[in-house]
Amino acid sequence: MKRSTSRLETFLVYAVLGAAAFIVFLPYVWMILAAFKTPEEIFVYPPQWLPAVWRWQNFVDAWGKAPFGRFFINSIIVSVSIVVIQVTTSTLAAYAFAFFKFPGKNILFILYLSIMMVPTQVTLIPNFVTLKNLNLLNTFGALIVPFLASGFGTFLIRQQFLTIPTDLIDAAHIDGASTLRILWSVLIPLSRPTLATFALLSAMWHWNDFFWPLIVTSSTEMRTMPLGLAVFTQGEAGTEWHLLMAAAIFTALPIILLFLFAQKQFVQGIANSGLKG
Amino acid sequence: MKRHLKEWFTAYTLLAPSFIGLATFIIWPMIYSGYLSFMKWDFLTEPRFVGLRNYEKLFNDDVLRLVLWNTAVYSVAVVFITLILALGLAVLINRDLKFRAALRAIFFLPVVTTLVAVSGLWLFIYTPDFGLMSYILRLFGSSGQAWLNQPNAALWAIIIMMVWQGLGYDMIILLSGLQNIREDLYEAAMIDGAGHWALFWNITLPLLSPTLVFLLIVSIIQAFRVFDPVYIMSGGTGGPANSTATLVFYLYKQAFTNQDAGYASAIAYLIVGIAVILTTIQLTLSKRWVTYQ
Repeated sequence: MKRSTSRLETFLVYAVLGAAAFIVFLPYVWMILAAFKTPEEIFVYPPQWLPAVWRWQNFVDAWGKAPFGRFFINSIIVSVSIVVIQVTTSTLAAYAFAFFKFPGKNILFILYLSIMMVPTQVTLIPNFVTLKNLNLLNTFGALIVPFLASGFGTFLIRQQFLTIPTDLIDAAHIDGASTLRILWSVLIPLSRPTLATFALLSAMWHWNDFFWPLIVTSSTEMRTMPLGLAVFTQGEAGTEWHLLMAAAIFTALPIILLFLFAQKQFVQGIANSGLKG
Repeated sequence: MKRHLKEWFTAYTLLAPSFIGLATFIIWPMIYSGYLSFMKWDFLTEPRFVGLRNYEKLFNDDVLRLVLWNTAVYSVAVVFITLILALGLAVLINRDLKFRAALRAIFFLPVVTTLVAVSGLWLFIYTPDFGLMSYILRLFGSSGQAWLNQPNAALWAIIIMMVWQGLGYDMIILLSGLQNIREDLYEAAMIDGAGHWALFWNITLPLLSPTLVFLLIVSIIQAFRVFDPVYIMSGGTGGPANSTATLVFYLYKQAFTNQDAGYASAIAYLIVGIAVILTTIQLTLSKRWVTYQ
């Protein structure tokens, strides 16, 4: 913005934004500091902001209080599998929608688009029943299989494919490249940022998902991080707030780190698609 | 003709993996839910046809009425408060600033923080005697209270938390909308002597209207599906006295606590109906209200 601004105005802008950022960030400070305190320090009023000793041990204790190691591995297996499978199936479908002519193309595309609007709750009971009939409840299958495909991913990748000049594909055809060869060596290399954006958003949604694991898992060994943390909040830890805050930190941290490293992809993905998880 | 057939075959093969996934886990469930909504079923015995009884129950269920009211209050409050605050922040941050990237990252942080972790954190913040909220309120002379235990305050405690959580999301979308407004429009208006407020009301707001309408509807549909924070903040009860129970939470209770798959499916279709109505409103509004450059 090139509009001229007075010094007072600049000061006010900084003051308001600074205050807002302080308010938004304060809960994180509160969480981090509490995660290092002793229980006694937490129950003090008025609050004592800094712990006398920084107790890293809290993280070890919290990690051992519930089988978080197991939950962590489960979460990694589930989100990585979903991301890999969704990127693959969406890319293949996007390829068909962007560069092939076939009967029913428009109807199918509208179908894929409208699927994005379906509230997941409508599919809840039938999917639960399907997985029960397949004997998959309380297995990795139940956590992964319902998310094999993504209407959103197909749409996002198709939009990217359409920006690629068809000349490139025709040229590859003339050189005798096969259908999959063209996808692999022409389209995918040109679409890396879009694929990365979709992979990040999908990873975030499925790492953070709580509702679905709550419904299809019943044993402790099958819980994912958010579900493990939720059970931790409800009782296993009682009011051991220092441990709860430590557990909240290591549950949220992987996606926060991913975000900090790939901010641009996250922000652009969300700004372009306007989609919430 | 033969070449066509080959192209068709390749295209269908490429579509098959995702189509099978979507058909099995989205399209078929939608149909099956519709069927179940006319049944009485406890997941175990044979489903029994009950006609429209589940839908009649929707109209006579007092708890559902409270749940609808909670969901409406929650959605309207969260969506409007978040949108207004985010609009202010987006307008302020949309200029050459030092620390702009850092500020944007801070506002966005809650969006990428696991909702269950956010809920756990705010559970701690709302703890009566030694929580952050009661500390701050006492600094201003109010007495610290157990908000989450009071039927008239618990939902608002969740609303405040979710405004905090969603602010960065709205801000990012509004910011990209603001960056699409042509700078020369402002320059022309400034030459005509327009002040800041005039610029905001006559240029920024009208030209941002497509983004605002879009955000409004997407966020309301999203807010109507709230579940995680309600579950965690109320300890899985929707209490105190059902005061935080929302539609999806109620659906969950009917399905998995009361084992009433038929009634839960009717509630699912109620949610679909509301989503369809809201989307129709969005399409109508964006035709009527929206100003293009």
